[in-house]
Amino acid sequence: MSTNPPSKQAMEAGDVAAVLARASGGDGEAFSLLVNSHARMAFRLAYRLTGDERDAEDVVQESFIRAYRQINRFEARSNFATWLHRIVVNCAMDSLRARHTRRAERMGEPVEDIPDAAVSAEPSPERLAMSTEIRRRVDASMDTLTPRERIAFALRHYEGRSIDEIGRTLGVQQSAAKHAIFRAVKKIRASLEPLRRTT
Amino acid sequence: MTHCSDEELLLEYYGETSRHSAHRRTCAECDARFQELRATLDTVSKTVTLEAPERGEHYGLEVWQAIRHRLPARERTWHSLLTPQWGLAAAAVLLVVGFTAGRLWTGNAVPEPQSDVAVTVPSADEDARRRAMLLTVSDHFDRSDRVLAEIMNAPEPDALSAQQQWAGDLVAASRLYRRNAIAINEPAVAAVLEELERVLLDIVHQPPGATAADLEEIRRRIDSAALLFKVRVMSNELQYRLEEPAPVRPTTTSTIG
Repeated sequence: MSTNPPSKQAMEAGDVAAVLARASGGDGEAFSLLVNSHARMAFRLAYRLTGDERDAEDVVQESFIRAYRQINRFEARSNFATWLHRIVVNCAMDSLRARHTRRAERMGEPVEDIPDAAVSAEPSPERLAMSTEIRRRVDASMDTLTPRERIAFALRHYEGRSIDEIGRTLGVQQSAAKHAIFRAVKKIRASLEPLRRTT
Repeated sequence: MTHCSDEELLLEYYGETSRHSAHRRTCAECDARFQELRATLDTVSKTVTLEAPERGEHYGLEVWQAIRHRLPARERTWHSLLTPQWGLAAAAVLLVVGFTAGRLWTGNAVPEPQSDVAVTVPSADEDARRRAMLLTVSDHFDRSDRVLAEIMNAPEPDALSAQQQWAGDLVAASRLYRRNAIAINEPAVAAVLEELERVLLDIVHQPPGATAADLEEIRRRIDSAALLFKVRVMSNELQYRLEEPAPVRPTTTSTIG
């Protein structure tokens, strides 16, 4: 056993409802227990959604602050982890939008129309292993996705969430979630197309 | 023959539908497109895992320390007060009220009613005493942290007996500090000290030759009370307060919040 603070399971085995009731009453100590037991999960998710360690750290902190502000809206019969998951997704979306806007401003381009410069570069198979090149291209294409496309793709592809669930999490119609994933996959496939032709 | 669209093949890949499986079995073209899509997305999964860098065992504590001063102040509601320490405080208030009411009811001459609540500004001496006390308690929490961590990480049950002597010293100190914490109106510090004292007593009272099951039970108690976490948070909290230049004010509610 490690010195890890109590796990989420340990907390759930205890009285998570009582902890939540205390936290919603403004008891910081109770809320600190929730932070402690869910921080790692929140970080893993935030990292998957943003792909950046520092952004993920910020997303985690912002998510818990938001959760604290909104905890009175949390329904006791719901699952806290599920509720927090949604908050992390929304915070990650805000983080990606801010990143997208910053990049667009730097490049002087419209926000939704960033050229895929990195992806269009010719690969250097002599210098790079194929997997490195694939990773580079996928990373580059992920950067060209809109925040919604990126989040929807990460939730579907890496988190294994259903399209219906993704729609509910993002607060959009199922069809909008579906199309965001289609567009993301299309861009990623396009970025790998040159490699497929060389193999 | 109507072929599958890219969207339909993608839904099939993610297991959202299996409506087109039969068609694929009889259509080489659609099946080839599906296999190509699958190869691409499988490659993406293998090469770009998006596995988050590992976070240390204190990550929850780090996040909490980073956000705790940014949380908006909130009113405590009545049900949040239903904790043991608040229950005791409420009982004490009721006792005082009951006693006073009893005296008034029996018609005893009560000379000048004296206010039970005095608004006092801590003098320099009082502040110095409070700082000294909190510094000592912070050090006590650090030493307790080391003992608890040793137990949590111990590979063998023997480690429990190795820590019993330390735990015994800490119990005596804990009792003293808890009384002092109550005296200087630090209920949150007293509450953590009380929890710590209980676990330390469990450690001290372990019979010689503790088994792996005994060690596991002690660990479970430490873990389920989030004791290590609370001790660390409180230690950090005290250090933070001691670094402030202003007089160290007592905290009447949980300082972990």
